[in-house]
Amino acid sequence: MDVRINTPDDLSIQVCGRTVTLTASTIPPGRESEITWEVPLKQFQTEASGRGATFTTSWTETGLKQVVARVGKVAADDVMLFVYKTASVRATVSEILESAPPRIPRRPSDYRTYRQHQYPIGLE
Amino acid sequence: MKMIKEEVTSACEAATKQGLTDFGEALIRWWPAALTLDLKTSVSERIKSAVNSNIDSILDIDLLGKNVFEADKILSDLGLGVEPGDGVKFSGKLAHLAIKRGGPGAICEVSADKAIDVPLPPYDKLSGNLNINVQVSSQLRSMDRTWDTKAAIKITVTGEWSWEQDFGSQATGSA
Repeated sequence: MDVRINTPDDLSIQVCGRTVTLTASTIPPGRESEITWEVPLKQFQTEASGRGATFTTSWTETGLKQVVARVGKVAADDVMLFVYKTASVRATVSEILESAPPRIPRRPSDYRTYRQHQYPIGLE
Repeated sequence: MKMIKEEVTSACEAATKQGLTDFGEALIRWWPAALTLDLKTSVSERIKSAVNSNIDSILDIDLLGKNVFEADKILSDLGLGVEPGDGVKFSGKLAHLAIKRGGPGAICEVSADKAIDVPLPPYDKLSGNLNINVQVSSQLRSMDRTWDTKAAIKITVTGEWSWEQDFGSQATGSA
């Protein structure tokens, strides 16, 4: 048994104040109702946990965020999201350049990960 | 025909679109002075339009849901191209904005190049072409959580024109 987060894309850009709905499936399929969701550490999220095939949350501060999906005691997957607090709740280059800095900045190594994330060299 | 190349590089303090636009206009006020007075307004407007268009083409791109590390691909997908001379060349490190770095240094860099051909406006027997390369770049730096922003516009103008005079000979000029 395994679990895989399907959306949103890993390492994708999101903005504060806009809900993000995550979806996951089990491998083999059929046990999606057993999936549990967790937003670890203090991430300024609006929802920290959930259950089922989908999970909706949002964030209020800029930062590198992580959401973890689990099935049972062993199977787990995670996505890392780059969330920016922008004035217009949009993610244009202009808005991102003017976004608020993170209140509690975190590096990728601050999180326990469950998949291989494709970071550029030097970012870890 | 004669061709020369001149370059203007400077920086402004704000990474905002308005800051970039204001700075571009300041450069434009200086640049066309090298041209004849009669051409000044028209060419100035073309350069201004090129600068503004290029700034907009970069700063207005919506990156929501995009992979933060695939800036080149993002622009390619949007049809802006990544090859010099064929569109916009982009490099980005937006991810660093969301992560605290260990020490002072650039945490975000966004830059873009775009070559724009600007035909000289019809004027008597003058004809020619200006090739304008506009580079827009922004940097954000963090030093002990004190955020500092810098932005720069670099404009390269290559001018080439000919002027057929009344007595039949041909004069050349540059800007």
